[in-house]
Amino acid sequence: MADVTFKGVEKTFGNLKVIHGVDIDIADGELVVFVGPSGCGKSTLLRMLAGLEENTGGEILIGTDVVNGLPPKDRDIAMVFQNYALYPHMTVAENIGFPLRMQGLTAAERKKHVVRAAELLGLESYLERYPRELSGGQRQRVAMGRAIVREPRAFLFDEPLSNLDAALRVQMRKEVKLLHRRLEATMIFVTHDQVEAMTLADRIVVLRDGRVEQIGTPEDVYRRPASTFVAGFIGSPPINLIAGTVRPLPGKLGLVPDANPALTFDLPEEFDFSSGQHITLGVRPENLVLVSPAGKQELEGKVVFCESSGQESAVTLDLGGLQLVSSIWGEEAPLIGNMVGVEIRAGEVLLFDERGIRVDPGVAEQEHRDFTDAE
Amino acid sequence: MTSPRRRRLDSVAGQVFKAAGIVALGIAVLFPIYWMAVIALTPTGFSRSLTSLVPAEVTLENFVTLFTERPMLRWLWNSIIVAAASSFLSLAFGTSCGYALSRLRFRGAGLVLILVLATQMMPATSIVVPLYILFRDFGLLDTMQGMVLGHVSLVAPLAIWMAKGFFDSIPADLEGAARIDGCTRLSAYWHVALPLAMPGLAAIFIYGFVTSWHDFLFAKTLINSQALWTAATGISSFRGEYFTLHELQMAAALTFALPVVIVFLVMQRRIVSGALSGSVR
Repeated sequence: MADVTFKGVEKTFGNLKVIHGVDIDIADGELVVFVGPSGCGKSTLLRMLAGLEENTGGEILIGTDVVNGLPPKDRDIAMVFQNYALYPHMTVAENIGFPLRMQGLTAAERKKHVVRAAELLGLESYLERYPRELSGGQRQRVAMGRAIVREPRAFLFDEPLSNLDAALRVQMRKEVKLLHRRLEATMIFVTHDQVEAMTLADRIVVLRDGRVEQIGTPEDVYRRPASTFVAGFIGSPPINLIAGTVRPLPGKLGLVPDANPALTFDLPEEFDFSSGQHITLGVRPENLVLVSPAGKQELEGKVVFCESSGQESAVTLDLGGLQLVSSIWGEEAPLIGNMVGVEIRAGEVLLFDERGIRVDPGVAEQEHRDFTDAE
Repeated sequence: MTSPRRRRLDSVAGQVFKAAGIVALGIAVLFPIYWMAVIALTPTGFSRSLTSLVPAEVTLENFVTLFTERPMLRWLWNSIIVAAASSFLSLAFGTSCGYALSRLRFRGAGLVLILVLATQMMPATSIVVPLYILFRDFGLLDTMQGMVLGHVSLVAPLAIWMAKGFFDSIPADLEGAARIDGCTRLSAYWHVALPLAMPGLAAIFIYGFVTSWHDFLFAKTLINSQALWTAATGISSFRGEYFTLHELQMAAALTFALPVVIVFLVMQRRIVSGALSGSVR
């Protein structure tokens, strides 16, 4: 096992630059998830680490070795592909044993390792079958077996669960997590599914347009997103982002949303904004509390849509052109068309400056100045 | 609305029509072969006096004559050598070029493919004269090597296209996985791409073999010595200016068709679909 380091890694396809200087440090034994929308470069980063694509700038290190230019076979990594990439002309046993065959192990030695890997994944009774005779989940397990049969320095997973149905995905997610715990191996997992990222990762790397947007624990990226992009990408239902202008209120500052200037949201006093500044207020749906029926509170909205997943309901409210989503647990959702009162849970707001960067209490102006100086 | 009874009648009539059509087509295709066999089994000189569809007298003397008094065996052997060599060479050439065109991204790849295809658009009759002059200059006229080379030039372009198509259908991730699992590019090609392209390679081989086997134009133009004749040239020699030995010619034609049928039957099992299913979703 080894740690993995990306140092200023860049990738250009022809004239198109897709990765713009990425720096990531992954510790030995860590499970890191690269997450981001399609086209953000997460798979390209993984393929560069595997050696299937060459980085056009920067350095990639596995352990202390710079692996730039090294062919995949010499990088000592294992990879599970989205489409399984099982060898169709080989049986399950031959598929799992293939990396060992390439290492020159004898048939008897290979068999020992293959059986052990198959037992770990519950594939013992399928060893003589061909991939075409297996279900999607079994194929994915074979692909994992092929990865774990030798002891590589790092495991790479390229969206391995996205071809599975929902129930199987949850089960395989658990198996990946258990496998990580059992092998204590360095694992890098690529996905576009933020739920997968949140549930699996020790640390999450959020990518956007070939740049790292934030690196942090699931708790970090959820509670303290670095930007409106991260805040919007992580969390389901997504965070409510209210763009507006800071206006003075008697004794404090308030936010007047662009979507409905008749409304005002109080801004926490500890933030240091100036009047006229254009900022964004973020509220997670679970921090937007419905107070029904509409009473003395300042905000009031009309229920326009409701999505229930049994335990949880996502209620979409219209506040005179400003649409907000609130999630409620275990209660009956209000009827569509009803007016309800809305309250933001005290202290549970995130604030982002005009560039979409999150600001911490009291340091808004300071941070802004630092940023402009650096530019 | 049609009644169910009416519909059933319609479907019975449809079935009868279909069966009749298939039988008619089968007869149209198979009758010439049957008639070849009938003439080949008729005593030499008697085929013109055949009066019924079934021969009154059957003999194998034409086949015996073919192999004892005529160098049929020699011609067949020449044909086998030329067809096998040119189809193997075309296969080697086609798979390596096709693989490169399928997997490597380089400027002008599309142009190369179009140029390769353009050579196929030229009718063989129009290239035979320049080829003759070229071969004369290189001392390849009236040699087996020359004929093999000529046939490769006929087969290779389509072989490249076919091979590219087969390799395109094999997901690149499979070779990526193999390279991560310890293969070099070459051994990934050997262990993964090549076995998976096998049905396609068999098809290319058959195409090359049949094209070379059936060629008459190049065989007649580029070869003079009777010892180097292929079977196609040999068969044509039964046709004289004033008369033709129909019975011998038909016996030779049947013998000539046999190896191709055998090659096809042997290779047919390789040409199976679905060999790729299950590898990737």
